[in-house]
Amino acid sequence: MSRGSILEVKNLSIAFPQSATSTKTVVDGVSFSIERGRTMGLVGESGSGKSMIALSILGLVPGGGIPVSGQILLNGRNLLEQTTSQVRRIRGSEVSIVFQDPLASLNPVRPVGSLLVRSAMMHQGCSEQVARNRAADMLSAVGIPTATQRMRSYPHEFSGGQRQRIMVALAMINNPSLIIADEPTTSLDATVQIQILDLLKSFASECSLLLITHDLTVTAGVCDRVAVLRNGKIVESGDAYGVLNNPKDPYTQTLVDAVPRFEGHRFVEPKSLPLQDEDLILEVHDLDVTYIQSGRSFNAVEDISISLERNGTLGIVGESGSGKSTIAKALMQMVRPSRGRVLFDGIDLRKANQRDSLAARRRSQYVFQDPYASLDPRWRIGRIIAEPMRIHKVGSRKEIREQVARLIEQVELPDDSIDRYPAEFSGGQRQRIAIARSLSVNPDLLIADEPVSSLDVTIQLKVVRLLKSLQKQYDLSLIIIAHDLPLVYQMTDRVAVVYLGQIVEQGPTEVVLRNPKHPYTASLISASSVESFESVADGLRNAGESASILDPPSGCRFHPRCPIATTECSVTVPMQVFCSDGTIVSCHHSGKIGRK
Amino acid sequence: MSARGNGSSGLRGRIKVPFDSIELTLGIVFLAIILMLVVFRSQLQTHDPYVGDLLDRFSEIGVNGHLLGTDNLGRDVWSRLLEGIRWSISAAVIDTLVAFVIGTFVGLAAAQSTGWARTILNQIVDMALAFPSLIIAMIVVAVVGRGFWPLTITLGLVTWPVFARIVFAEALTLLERDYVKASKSFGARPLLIMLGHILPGLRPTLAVVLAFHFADMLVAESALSFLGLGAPLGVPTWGNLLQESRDYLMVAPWLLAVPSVGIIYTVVAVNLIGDGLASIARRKGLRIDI
Repeated sequence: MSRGSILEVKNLSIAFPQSATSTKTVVDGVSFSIERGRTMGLVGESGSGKSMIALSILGLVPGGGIPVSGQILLNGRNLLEQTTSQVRRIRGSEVSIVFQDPLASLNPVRPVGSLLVRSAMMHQGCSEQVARNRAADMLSAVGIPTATQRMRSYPHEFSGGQRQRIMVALAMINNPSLIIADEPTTSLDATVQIQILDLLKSFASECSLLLITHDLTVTAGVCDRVAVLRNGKIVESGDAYGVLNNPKDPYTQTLVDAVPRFEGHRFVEPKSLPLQDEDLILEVHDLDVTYIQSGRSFNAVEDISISLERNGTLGIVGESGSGKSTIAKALMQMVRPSRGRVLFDGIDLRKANQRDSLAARRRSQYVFQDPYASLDPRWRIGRIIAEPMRIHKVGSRKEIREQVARLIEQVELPDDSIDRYPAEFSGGQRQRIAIARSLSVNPDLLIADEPVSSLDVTIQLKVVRLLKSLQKQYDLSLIIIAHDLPLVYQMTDRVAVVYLGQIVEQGPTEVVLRNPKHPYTASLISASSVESFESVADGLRNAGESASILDPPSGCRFHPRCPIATTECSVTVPMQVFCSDGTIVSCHHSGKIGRK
Repeated sequence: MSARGNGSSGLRGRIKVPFDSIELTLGIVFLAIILMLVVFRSQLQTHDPYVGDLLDRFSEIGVNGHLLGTDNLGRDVWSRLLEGIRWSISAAVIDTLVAFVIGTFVGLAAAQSTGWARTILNQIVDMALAFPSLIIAMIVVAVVGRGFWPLTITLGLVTWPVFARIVFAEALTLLERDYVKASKSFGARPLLIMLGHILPGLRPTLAVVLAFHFADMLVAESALSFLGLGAPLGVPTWGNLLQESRDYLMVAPWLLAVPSVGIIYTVVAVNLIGDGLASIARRKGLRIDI
């Protein structure tokens, strides 16, 4: 290997004891190296062993799992031969880590400044005053405004993106030669993700970066080199651009293929015709949902008007906290709207009597985001799938049993699933169970709230295919709520973009995502596409994060983050503009956005 | 290095503990012994527990064929102890069940209700918790009179808020689970959700609380009987045995020691079961606050 290597991992294997005699190998003969100032991506699905490698470099492999062979050379020293106290000194000064969840990895009872100061004093042996100055410098270097004052703030007083910036500051404060970032952006919104990745990249000239992720888009944008892990083995490694654009290993190929893109295959035939009024399964007019928090009431969503054709597919996209799930809950009668009309197949749900409203509950079904939480762990699969049928008293016992067996087959689960418990199934299988349950009462409308975001990419694709084929089979109308634009592009024929509780743009998917008219839509697109990663609308990169729904900005709600905002935007609420191509936009400058 | 990893897990792996917990296994064995004593008490009793031999008073332990000696009227302490177990244990079982049924019902009702109904239910529970339950029980028994049913029902009626509070808190967290929301979105009625999802979800917590509450009730019965406000006079419950021993503490200390050991033994057995259940539940990732 070249002389400039910071980290060399040679033939590393890690095994966990399973019983007195056997062990389970989670990392199997892995070798790679990172040169000074370079960025390396370690890509793999859950269970591939990528986090184990990271933890072993830090000497933090959880109890029982022990590197059984190999070498980890950091600046030429084998970390596996160091004593515990030596490793502790290296950790935090020569190598440091940024974890996935910044809220869980920052001590909630200490001001962030004290975390930084302590780390600097411990590893650099400097005085408190020096450490204090260094911490303030570091915080402003990672883009925390008024850093000196914010040193006294606690982690919960920062937003998710800012917390991750603080984690980066904490990792960088002792000038390490290597930073390990373990899924650093997974819990963040797309637009914030870019900002954090940019930040990590900006430090890459000073130190090397090992980026661990399941997200190929992230790797493509940040890394020089990439290694693809599967079942603890590296199946392919090399130059990032080469591996991702021209994968040689079949597994890498499936991973690359599974990444949703704006190009290539779509599961829907492009339809840019305007909606046909007579055949709408769902119409929403001027919907408001009001929540009360600590005595103050606020509108979680406002002036929502959407409609969905029979057998059509509508995507609702937006960042977390934008209110997209609230819209879905209002459609499902899980929350009560404070204003507006929801017409489900012509029935006004707010005025419906009990029988109609129960019928609407049967005919519209909801698939939850987290398949680990949405199935009762104490129920067998057969009972879970049959629950809606029992509630709506559909069919006799025998018919229910037959229907459950048919559904299990249709969602491609093993035949013996019926008597097993949810804990025996993987995330993808559980989501199939949840889908089978929602289909058991032959609904007309299915609302899927981030149906695949908690699954691995290859599994995502299978579940998406299943949903689309079931849509045809069951004549379903589908609403997909997602933050993942390429997924929405592939699955839907209409899309509505939500920002801070309001729809800023809606129309045919093909038109909206190909030719966005609202700057927020444009920024979402640039944040989530592989090919335009390098040439994004740069205005958004430093534009900070979404304002709070409790205190929405005046005028156009997007104006504080908007690259093309003028004074007009901060004063006047933009009107909806109905365009000839079928889109509806709320922006004062809707003509000025063009996709590069 | 790999040897260390194998060694640490090896010992636990080899010794197979039934019920997955040493505490639980021990507790069940201890309790089984007590239940055997109850079931076979007529075979095990060496003398009539109610008839004494005045010529044979205050025999020490093991003297004159009396396994645990005799009391002030020459009655066999071993036989009286066995006679008392049945009374004490069935009293504790019944008041625990009364408290459990009322408390669980009120807790679930409070969790299910909203607005003022929930506030009122919680206020009632708070008020009930604020009263010292033993003192209320004493007053009630003093008014109603001694006896098995007055005592058990009263103890059940003054201790149910413990169950209500725990069930309420646990049910609230379960109601926030996605699978409960899913059930609601299908149109399930509250009763169906309570019976189908919430109550089964409460099972591990309730098992632990039941065990600890049973131990508390055993002690409460003894305490009330000792004060003369529990079991009817003449019935040799453990509390009554203690009360009778008080006057002869200097001459016959075993009269105090024997029922005390009995109470301690039973309480330890039940607490072991409770601890074992709690640690199993914790291992399965459930949170239990007692």
